[in-house]
Amino acid sequence: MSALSSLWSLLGTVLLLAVVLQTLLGWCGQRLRGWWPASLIAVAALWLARFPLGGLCTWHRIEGLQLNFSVPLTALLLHRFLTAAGTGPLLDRRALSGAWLFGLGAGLLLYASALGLVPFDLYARGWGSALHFVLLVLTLLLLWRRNRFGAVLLAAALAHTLRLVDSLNLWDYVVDPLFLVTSGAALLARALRRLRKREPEAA
Amino acid sequence: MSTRSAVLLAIAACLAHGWGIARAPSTKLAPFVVVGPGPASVREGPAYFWMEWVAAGTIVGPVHGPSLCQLADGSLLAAWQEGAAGTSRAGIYTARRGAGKDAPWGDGRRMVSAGSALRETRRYAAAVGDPVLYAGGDKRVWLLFSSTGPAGSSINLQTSSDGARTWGPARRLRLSPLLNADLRCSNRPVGLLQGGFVVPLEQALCGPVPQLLWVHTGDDGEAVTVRMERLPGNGFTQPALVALLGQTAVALWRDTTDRRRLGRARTDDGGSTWSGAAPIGVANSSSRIDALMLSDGRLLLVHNGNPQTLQDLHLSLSTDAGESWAPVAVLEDEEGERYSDPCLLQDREGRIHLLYVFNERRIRHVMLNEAWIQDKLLEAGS
Repeated sequence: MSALSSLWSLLGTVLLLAVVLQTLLGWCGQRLRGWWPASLIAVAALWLARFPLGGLCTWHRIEGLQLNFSVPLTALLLHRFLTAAGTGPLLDRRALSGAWLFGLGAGLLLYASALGLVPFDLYARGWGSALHFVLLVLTLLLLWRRNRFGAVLLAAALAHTLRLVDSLNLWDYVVDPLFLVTSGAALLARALRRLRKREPEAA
Repeated sequence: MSTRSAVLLAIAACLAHGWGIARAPSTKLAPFVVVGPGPASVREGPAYFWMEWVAAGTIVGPVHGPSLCQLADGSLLAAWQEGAAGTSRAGIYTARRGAGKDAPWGDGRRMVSAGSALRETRRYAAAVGDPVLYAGGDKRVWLLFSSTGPAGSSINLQTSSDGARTWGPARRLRLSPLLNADLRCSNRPVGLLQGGFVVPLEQALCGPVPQLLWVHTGDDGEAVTVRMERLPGNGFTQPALVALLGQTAVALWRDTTDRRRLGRARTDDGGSTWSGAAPIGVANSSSRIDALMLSDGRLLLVHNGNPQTLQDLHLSLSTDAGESWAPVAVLEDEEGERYSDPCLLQDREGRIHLLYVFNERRIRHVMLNEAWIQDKLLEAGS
């Protein structure tokens, strides 16, 4: 594991823990907004990530779950952290929709393929150039539609160039299990919200 | 997002993906190292057959999955899993045997434990196992092993650059998008002409999904790229690979279905595409098999011949690249005993080495030559 990929994994872990801390504080009625509280939460998350637990720190325990932080997941975590801190969103509504649809669609296809449920091996295409062509077309389409998720996919391509994630496979830069779960949950929550909105109108 | 920003980002995307495409490994896979056919001198000389125990006085726990390689100095290195499988007591042990025909096996010593895997890979490892050794022509030796953590088992790689005297730290390979879940290795690798090797793996999360892993090396011999391809399984898994020509190889598979017949598939493009695995007329109890090509191009197979038990061990020979097999010898056949996890190697002197586990307690080493196989065929009237 290179120093860069270690740093990336630490960044992902700290963001994840920071978002969890913000959520817990929110449940306790403590909405800490502004740069100073956000910095304090980030420092606390960094301390938690480095906290030793049975010979391994939390950071390495999360790595041990093989939870690679893909670039879209990291962008979503950063967006959530900044929004909760009240310092402005990173992604607008269209970009979030794009991210969730991509996370759910690509994740379901990839994991079905990895489990051998479909007759083709999508993950193997990530070692070569095939996935680069697909992602380039998708990125250009998103940028043409002025969707900021295109910039996130561009960041994933740059991260692959720099080998930021501990993998040579491009899929690991754009999809991961937590991103799939987050996307599915977000889309489901949005669908339920829309359904609830319609019910009073119908009544 | 302004039009100017979008255009700039689009140009950046073209450059980033263009760079990635330019650096992507070629889809044409490297040719295999073909061990045989070799010189006729390998087949000459008196027939011999020799049996002994590996690290006889030092193995105490249950053993599984031995692996064998020949080092640059001609000596043999064996690795196996010892200790209750799936527990932290299981470790990977190695033993060495000198280069001479009569050299004894040294004591077994623990090389990898769950604790050492945790320290070196910085990933939680509850147990380690499934060692697979590979030695290229130089002093570099590779050890693949699986480690079991909260997200199933993963494959780790450890290398030695001084003929297995000292080893670098283990590192975990990221090979699957699915939390690396339940990846295992067991069969012998096949070398690649440009350095590195290809080794069969299995993902067992949702039924066995056989896969091939390519490990390529850089100029310094370190692993630089890995690549995986899924194999057409159809109920077959854990193939024994035999390279026939540069881009041609056959895979002989154990059968996980009720057919209990070995399967065979063939590739002519370095492993990129395979013929569908089809059953051949060799019975097997869905246990590990191994095969190699002899110096005259015939294939030698070691397998359990009973579809139900592991109480026998057979040698068979094929003259048509694995399509049909003729029995050579029954090495073991004792009711109530278990002979498992066979592993074959033909050394540079032409001697054939076979390791297998006896009753999960000991590892037997059989050494024979091609003249002995020829004698057995003559006895059988083939």
